This record gives sequence, C-alpha cells and structure tokens, in this order.
Amino acid sequence: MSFKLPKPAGGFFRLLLQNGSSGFETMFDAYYFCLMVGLDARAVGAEDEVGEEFVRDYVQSFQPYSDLIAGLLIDAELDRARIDPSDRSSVEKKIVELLDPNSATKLSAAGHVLLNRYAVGGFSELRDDFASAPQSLEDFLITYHRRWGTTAMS
Amino acid sequence: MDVRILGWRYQNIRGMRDVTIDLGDQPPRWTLIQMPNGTGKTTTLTLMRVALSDEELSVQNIRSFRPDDQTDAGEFQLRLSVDGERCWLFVKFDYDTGTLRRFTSRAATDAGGLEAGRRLKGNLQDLLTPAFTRLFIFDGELAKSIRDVGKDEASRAIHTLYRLDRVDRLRGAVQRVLQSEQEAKAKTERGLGNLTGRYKTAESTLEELKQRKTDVHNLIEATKDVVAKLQTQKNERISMDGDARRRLVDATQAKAEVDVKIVGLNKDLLSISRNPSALADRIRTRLTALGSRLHQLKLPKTTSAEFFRELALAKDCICGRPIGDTEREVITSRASEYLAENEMGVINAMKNALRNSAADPVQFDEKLESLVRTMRDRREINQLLDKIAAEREEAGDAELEHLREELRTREGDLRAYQEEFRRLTTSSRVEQDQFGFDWKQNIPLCEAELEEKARQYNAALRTMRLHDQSQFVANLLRDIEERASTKLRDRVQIATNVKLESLIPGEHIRVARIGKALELASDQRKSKESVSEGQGLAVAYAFLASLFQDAPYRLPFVVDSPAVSLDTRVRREVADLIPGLFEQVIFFVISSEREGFADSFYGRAGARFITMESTANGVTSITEGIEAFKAFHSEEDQTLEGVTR
Repeated sequence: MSFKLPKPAGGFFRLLLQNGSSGFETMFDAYYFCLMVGLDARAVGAEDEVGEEFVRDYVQSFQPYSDLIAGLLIDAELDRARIDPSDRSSVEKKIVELLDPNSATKLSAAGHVLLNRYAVGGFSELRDDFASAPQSLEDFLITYHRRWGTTAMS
Repeated sequence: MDVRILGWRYQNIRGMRDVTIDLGDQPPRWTLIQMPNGTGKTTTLTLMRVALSDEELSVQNIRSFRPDDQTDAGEFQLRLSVDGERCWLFVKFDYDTGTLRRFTSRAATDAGGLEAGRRLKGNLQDLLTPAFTRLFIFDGELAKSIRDVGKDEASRAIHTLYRLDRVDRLRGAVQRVLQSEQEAKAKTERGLGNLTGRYKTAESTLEELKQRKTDVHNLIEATKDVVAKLQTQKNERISMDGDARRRLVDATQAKAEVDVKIVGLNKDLLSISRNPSALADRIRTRLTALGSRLHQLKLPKTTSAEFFRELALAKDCICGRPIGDTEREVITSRASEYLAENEMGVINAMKNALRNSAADPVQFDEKLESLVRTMRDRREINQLLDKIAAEREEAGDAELEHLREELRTREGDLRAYQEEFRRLTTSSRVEQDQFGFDWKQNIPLCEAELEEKARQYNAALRTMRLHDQSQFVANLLRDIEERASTKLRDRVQIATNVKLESLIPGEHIRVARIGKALELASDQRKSKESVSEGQGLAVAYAFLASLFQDAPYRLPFVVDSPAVSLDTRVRREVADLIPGLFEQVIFFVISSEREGFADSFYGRAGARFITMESTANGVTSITEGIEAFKAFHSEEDQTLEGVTR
C-alpha cells in the first residue's frame, strides 16, 4: 500500500518540486492537488498511468486529514457505483471495502489502488486548466483555485 | 578382490531334479567335473552367468529348463565367497510365465534372509556385466567372438577388467556438465563481446557524466559570480543618475518585501489547502453530507460482531430465553454480518471528522485575495524597475541595455546549469522516473547500470571459464583413458604372444593388434583371419590368461569342454597354461578330454574329480574321486569305441 504520483505529473510540476522553499514542500502536495480534482470530478484514471511509489504512508502535514480524504473516496465511490444513499447495507459494504482498520492509512489495498487512480484522473483534468506547466507556486495556487469557484481573480 | 565358487544347487532344472555340488568353504584350486554331452554342462554355465550377472534370458530359454509339464518352478543357487564372506545368489524360475527373479543372501549363515535382486559386494555389482562374466564363465562362443571385429569383445574386456570404464564414467559426468554449459557457452561467446562493449560504454559514460558534473558545478559557481557582478554593474549604472538611484533603491526594497510576503502567503495557502474541507465549499458540503448520511443510516451499527459471538457462548439470551444449539449456530453465523469493533472505530472516527469539518474556519478566499493583490503589487514594482532601466536606456545608456541583456542571458544559463546538475545527480527514484531520466544522463542510474553490466559480464566470464575447465578435464580424461588403454593392450598383447609361442609353435600365430577385436597374424601370412577351432581356442586362452594375470580381481575360471577341439599336444600346453592363471578353475569335461588334458591333473595336489551321470530313472548320480573319474564311460565313448572297432 503506497501513494503513487500520476506518471506525467512529475514533469508538469517540475519547477514546483525543485524550487524548495518557494515550491511544494513535499511530493504529496502535488499528489493531493491532483487527487482532490479527481475525487471531485469522479475521474478514475487508467492503471497504467499510475507511477512509482513516492511515499508509503501519509506525510505528517496530511495526517490530520486522512479521515476526510477517506470520506471523500467513499463519497466518490458511492456516487460512482450509484449506490442508493438510503441503502444502509450497501453503503456499509462499500465503506468496509475501502477501509482497513489495520492499515496505517486506514485505507484498504483496494482503497489505495482507487485513490491513486483518482489522482491520475484528477491530473488529466487539472492539466487542462493550465496553458503551460506552472512556473511558480503562486501561479499554480491561483489557477488551481479558480476551478473551485473561488472569487479570487488575478 | 577375491571371488571363489563354493558350490551350487539345482532344483527342478531339466536333468537336475535336486542336485548339489558342494566344493566346501576352501574349494580346491582345480575341479574337474566329468559329464556326458547333453547332460547340463552348457545349462550350468548359463545358470552361473545368469546368477552372477544381470544377463537376461528369453521366455523360451527359461522354459527350456523345465524338467516336466507338472513342474511350475525351478531354482538355481550359486554359493560364493567374496573376500572371505559367504554369499548365496538365487535365481528362481517361474516356468508358467517364463520369468525369473533374483535374490541374494549375504547373512553370516546360509540360512540368512533373502534380499530381492542380485546384491554383490562393492564394485563387483557393477563389474559383473553379462559381457564381462563371459570372460571367466567361459564357453567356446567367446573364443570366436573375441576375434570378431564387430563385437568389440577384446578391447571392452580390457576396459572393464582394468576399470577404465570408471574414467569413462567420469568423462561422461564431465560431458554432461559440458553439454549443460554448451548452450550457455554459445550464448556466452556471442554475448561476451556485446557485454564487454556494453560494460565499456557504461564505464565511459559514467566517466563523462562525472566529468560533466564537475564542469557544471564550476559553471554554476562561475555563472553565479557573473550574474552577481552584472547585477551590481546594472544597479551601479542606473545609480549614476541620482533620481534613478533613489527610485531604484525604493523599488528594490519594495520588491524584496513583496517577495517575502508572497512566500508567506504561499505557505499559508498551501497549509490551508491541505484540509479538504477548507479547500472548497463544494468539498466541505460533500463531506458534511456524507457525515449526515452515515448518521441517518445509523452507521456504523452500534452492535458489533464481537457482541454476537460472545452472546452465542452464553447460556441465556439477554431477553432471558435459553440459547440452545440451534440458536447458537444462527447467532454465530449471522455475527459475520456485523462490523468488527475496530472497523466500527475507523468509521466512527471518519464520521466525526466529517461532521466536524463543517466548523473549519473559512480563511482560504481571504488569503487568496491577499495573494492576488500582492502579486499585482509585485508586477507593478517589476514594471517600475523595468521603467527605471528603460528610462536610462532611452537617455542613451547603451551600456545599461547591454548589461540587462547580458544579465537575462546569464540568468537563463544559470537556471539551465542548475537543472542539468540536478538531472546529473538526483538519486530519487521517483524523480528519475517522473522526469524520464535514464542512465546516460544520471550518475546514480549510470552507476547502477555499470554494476549490472559488470555482474552480467562476470557471470558470462564464469560460464566461459567453467566451459574451458570442463573441456580441459574431459580432454585430460580422454588422454588418460587412451594412454592407459594403449599400454594395457600392448602389455596383454605381448603376454598373449609369449604364451602363443609355446601353444602354437609351428605356425607361430600371434596377435598383431588388439583393436576392437584380436587381430591375428602368422609368419606365413600377414593376416590370419581364418584359424582352426583349436588354434582359436588356444588364442582365447592365451588372451584371457594374459588379461587376468595382473588384473585387480581374482575371479574363478569356469570352462566348458576346454580341450575338446584341441589336438593332444596343444591340450597339454593348455593344461599347463590355464591352471596357473587362476586361483580357482572349474572344468566341465567330457570323457574324451581325459587324454592329454584331464590326465595332466592326475596326481596334482589341489585337484578334485567329480563325475556326474543321469541314471535311467532320471536321478543324477554324483561320484567323487579320481578312480570313478577315470573309469567313467559315457554312451558316446561306447559308441565311439564301437565305431573304432
């Protein structure tokens, strides 16, 4: 069980990953921004677009949000599987399928695989928002947040 | 190794209903057994060979031993002494199926238990092949086949007796190693050149990359100096105008402040963004909706699987009713429909996080707006800085224009060098993978490639060496085998010819060569392919005598009608020759061989005489002693005497 960056994402975020204090703090930042877009868009990417493992567990800065990320995965999967929200047993079954109390990330192996594929799907969506690879973190953050319907405009 | 025949026994063998020949624990050196023709001499030799070796018999052969139609089974037992230890070899015949089975008894007494199969001591088990056994359980057939080129008996006999087959076997083992390496070698020979090339390419690439790393490092340091100098020169140039200098200082200071502010805002926004519920309203709404849904559905269920498993073990239900076997079974099976406590714990933690996410402070938009504003400020400052420089250029400062252009170029160079340095040196697997670096661009990857190529090259080299070494050993063994074989053949040939000089003095037949067969020559003719039966027998005896004289095995010699085809003079020579060659000789003779052959043994100490005869009622009589031996007259003799008269 491990987190894997979408294959082309490293090249796309190259400058942000190399810039130290003025870029992403960890590779998980890049992964997370892709993942959030994928979960929101219910976009599950192709398995062969999933890249190499970059970290096994949540990095420290994301540990407080592991439950919420798991919740978003469940939400996306309930939606994708068209499970009736009032069907208690089906909802429970899906939750049990995606979570594993014995895993450090609380996610099951199947949950991890899906999470990585949502990141792939999210990267494809996200890349379309950018004319070219982001040159600075501030450029990225501003463009990224446009997608969420924030009012801020450059 | 010393092998003696101590006796044998026939049971229900044609012509031998129940006959035992006991030579005692210290058998005589020469045993002469006189039997009329057709009473079992050939059969006895065949049975001895079958007992001693793995010689197979046809169904027809086996059935030919059947004494009568009423007898289903027969048996032949051969009693041996091997290096002083006694052993019985049993051959049991089933006449109905035409099969035989071998057994061995090697216990301290003759009444020891039977082991299935022929189990001889040490090397004897392998030595006594059917072909080899024919050399010392000898019939007239060998005398012919030993001169038959196609049968390869002569050289094979030397090979087996002097254990050159062991060298052969060792060579076979080496050959198998060779064969298994053969394919690898073929691949290796082809591959070794390629691998050497690839190894050297990787090696030189690594050298180049390391050199490039040093060069790029120096370029970065040098370019940094140049950029710093250009920056200073540019600012000094602008500062030559007092007003411009003041504006430049203010703008530069403002830019530094804005840059710091942007870095801070970036950090804050990054930190806020990591909380999904703070990232966007849409996400927060989804999270709280899911939390509410779980709450409405009463998920996770408040009762755990563990509760029901414990309940199933109780005597009574919580409602007070007793829990019988049927109820217990149902409760246990349905318990699996409920979540385990730790699963409930995870879901509860998530549900609480979801429900609490609604309360996360909304700061994101505010920070983002601040960032946008600050970036706008920075743009304006940058524009101001450009404007100050542009004004100076418009005022005719071509040097400043040149400096700014040069600075842009050098800053671009610096970024490119820094990127190249990172590409050359990064050992992060993810980075290598993500940025598509390969071993021709990246030093850690090139080092790994070189190590892999070295491993492949060494493995191939080991295969080559192993191949060469096994080939060397195989050649050495072949050489040993050939030299030993040649020397032994020469020795046996010389010894055989010495004996033939006295056995066949007239024509002086001799062995010209021991090739696959004994090749004979005589004084009269160059090649002596055709010899009389008697001469052939004499050659065979001379050869066998020479063969066995220095062999590492002392074996009994059993011979059927040794002198029947020899003339009287040669008989005496043979009678003088054979007895000295073997520690134990058993002659099966007919009465006509007494003259000139058997009579040579009369009066010799260590000779024993047995006369066997089938009586009219089918019982075989055995008479010991020289007198009976001398006096015996077979029907053939009587017939011959009748003819003579």
